[in-house]
Amino acid sequence: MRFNPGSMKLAFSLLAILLVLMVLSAIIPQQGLADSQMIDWPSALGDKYAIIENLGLDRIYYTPTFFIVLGLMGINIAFGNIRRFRAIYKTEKSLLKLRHLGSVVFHLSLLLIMGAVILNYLYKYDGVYALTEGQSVSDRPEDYFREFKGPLYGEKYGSFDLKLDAINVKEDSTADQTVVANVTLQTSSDSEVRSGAISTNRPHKYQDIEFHYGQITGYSPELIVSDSARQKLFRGFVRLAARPSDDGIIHSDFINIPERNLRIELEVLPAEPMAGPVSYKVSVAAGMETLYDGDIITGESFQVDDLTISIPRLRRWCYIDVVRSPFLNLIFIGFWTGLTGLAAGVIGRTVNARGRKK
Amino acid sequence: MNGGESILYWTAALCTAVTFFLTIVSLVFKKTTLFTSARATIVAAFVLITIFGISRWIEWGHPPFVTLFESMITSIWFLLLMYLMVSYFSRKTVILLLPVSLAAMLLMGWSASLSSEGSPLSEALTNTWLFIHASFATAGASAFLIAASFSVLFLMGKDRMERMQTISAQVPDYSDLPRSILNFLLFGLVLWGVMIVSGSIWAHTAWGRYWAWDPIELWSLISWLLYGVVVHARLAFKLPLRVFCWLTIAAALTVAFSLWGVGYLYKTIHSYG
Repeated sequence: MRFNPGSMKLAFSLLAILLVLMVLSAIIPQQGLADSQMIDWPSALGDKYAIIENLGLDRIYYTPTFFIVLGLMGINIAFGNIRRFRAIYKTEKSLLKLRHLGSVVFHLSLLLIMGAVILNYLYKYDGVYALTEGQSVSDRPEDYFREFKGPLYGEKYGSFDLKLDAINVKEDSTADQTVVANVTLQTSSDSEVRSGAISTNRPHKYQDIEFHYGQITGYSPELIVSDSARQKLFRGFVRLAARPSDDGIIHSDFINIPERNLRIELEVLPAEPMAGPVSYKVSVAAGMETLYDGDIITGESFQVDDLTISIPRLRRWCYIDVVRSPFLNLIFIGFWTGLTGLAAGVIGRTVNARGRKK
Repeated sequence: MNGGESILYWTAALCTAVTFFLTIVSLVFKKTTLFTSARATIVAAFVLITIFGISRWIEWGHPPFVTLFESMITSIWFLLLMYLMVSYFSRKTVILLLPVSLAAMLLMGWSASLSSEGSPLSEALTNTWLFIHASFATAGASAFLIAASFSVLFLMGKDRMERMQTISAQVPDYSDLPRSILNFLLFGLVLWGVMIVSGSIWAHTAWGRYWAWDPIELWSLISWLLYGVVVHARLAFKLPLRVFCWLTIAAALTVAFSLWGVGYLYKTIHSYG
C-alpha cells in the first residue's frame, strides 16, 4: 500500500491524536501551567504517578510527541491541499472563486501558524526575574530566577541592564489590584537609559523584548543581624513568599544563619502594610529551641543573646517576565489571514448555494 | 437585580416559556396561526432581554458578561438574535422556535439559580478586546446551538418532518437540513475562531501571555478542532448524515461546557465574577 502524506485518513489520525493529547492535558496537571486541573494526581496516584512523568503526560505541550504531531499535520496539510487544489484547478481552471480561494488561504494560514509556532518554540526565550525595589539585574543566566531557552535560541539579541525603581499598587473597586512596576532599562546596543512602566495589563516593549508583570507582588523587609562586636552576620532584603490562605494572602518566609545555627522567620502584619504602621511577627529558633517569638514594627530592633536583630525598611518585590518571541507576529498574521480565508470560504459557499438554487 | 430588572427578567423568562408552549400546541393541534403568536412572544423576549442588558450595562458600567449570570443572559440574547436573523432570511425556520425557546428557557432557569449580583470590571480587564472576545464567544455558541437544533430535527426523521410540513409550509424541507447544519457549523467556526484569537490578544494585555493552556482556552480549542473534524468528515468522507448530526450535537455539548461548565470543575483564571 502506497503511503500518501496528504491523505485525509492521516489528517484524521493526527487530529484525533491532537484532540486526545489536549483532553489528557485537561485532566492531568501540566507542569509550568496554571494549577487548574481538577484532580491532584500526584497524591491520588502516589508512586504510579512516575508512569505519567515518564510518558511526558505532565508536560504534553513541551514533549517531542506534540511537536512531531504538529509537524506531521503541517506536512499533511501541505500535501493534501496541493493535491486537492490541483484537482479543483483541473476541473474549474481557476482557484479564484471565493469559496476555493477562501479555503486555500485558510489552509495555507494553518500551515503558516504551525510553522511559526514551531519556530517560535525553537527560538523563544522566557526568563523570570524576582526583583525587589531598588534592585538592578543584568541579562545573565545567573540573574534570572528561572529561564527557558528554545533549543536554537542564540545570544544575537544583545543584553540589557534592568533596575526596578518602584512598585505602585492600585486597588480598584473590585477585589483585583493593578500593579505598576517602574523600571529603568539600558541595552548594550543603545547607550540611552530609558524609563518605562510594566503594568498588570500592559507590558513594556523594547525592540523585540517584552517585559511583563509576573502576576505576583510581595513584601521585602530589610533584615539586619549583627553581633555584639557590631559585625553584620546578615544584611539584605528578604523576599517574603506570598501564599494564599483562607484569611487572604500571607506574606512570610525564613532565612538561616548557619554560623549560629539560627533560623529567623518573618511574617508581615497586617495584610496591607504599606498603608500604615508596619508590624512583623518574628520568630528566632536555634535548632528546636525557640529563642524569640514576638511582634516588632519597622525601625525597631530586639536582642537575642548577643545578637541585635532589626528591620529598618520595607520594600516590595515582584516577578518580571522577560519574553522574546521572534515569530509571534507571524503567528498572528496566520491567525487573521486564516480567519479571513475561512470567512471568505463561508461567504463563497453561501453565494454559490444561492446561485445554484436560483 | 433591582425591581425593574426583576420584572424584565421574569417577563422575558415567561415569554420564552410561552413561545415553547405555543409552538408545541401549534404542532400537536395543527394550529398554524399559533406560530405567529409564538414568533411574537420570542420577539418580545428578545426586546425585554435587550432592555435588561442595557439596564445592567448602565448600572455596572460594562456590558453584561462579567459574571456567570450575565454570561448566560448574553448567550440567550445572542441565541434569540441569531434565530431572528435566520427567520428574517428564511421563512422556513419556524420549527426552530422549539429548540431555541427550549434552550433559552433552560438557560433562564439555570441563570435564575445563580447570584444575579453584578460586579464592576477590574481595571486590569477593561479592554476592547474583551468585549470582542465575549461577544464572539456567545455569538459562536449560538451558531453551534442552531446547527445542533437543525441536527435534532434531522434525527427526528423524514416522516415526522413531512408530517410537520403538512401542518405548516414554514417547516424546512428535510433534504435542506444537512446543508443548513453545515453552513451554521462553518459560520460558528469563524465566530469561535475570532473569539479564540481576540481572547489571546486580550490575555496578552491583561495577563502578559497570549496562550497558557488555561482550561477554558483548552476546551475552547478542543471544541473548535472537534467542529473542524466534523466538517471535514462530512465534506471529505461523506460521513453518514445521522452520524454527522450526532457529532454536531456532541460538539455543541463541548461548547456549552467551555462556556459554562469549566468553572464548576476547574480553578481557572477565567472564572466569572
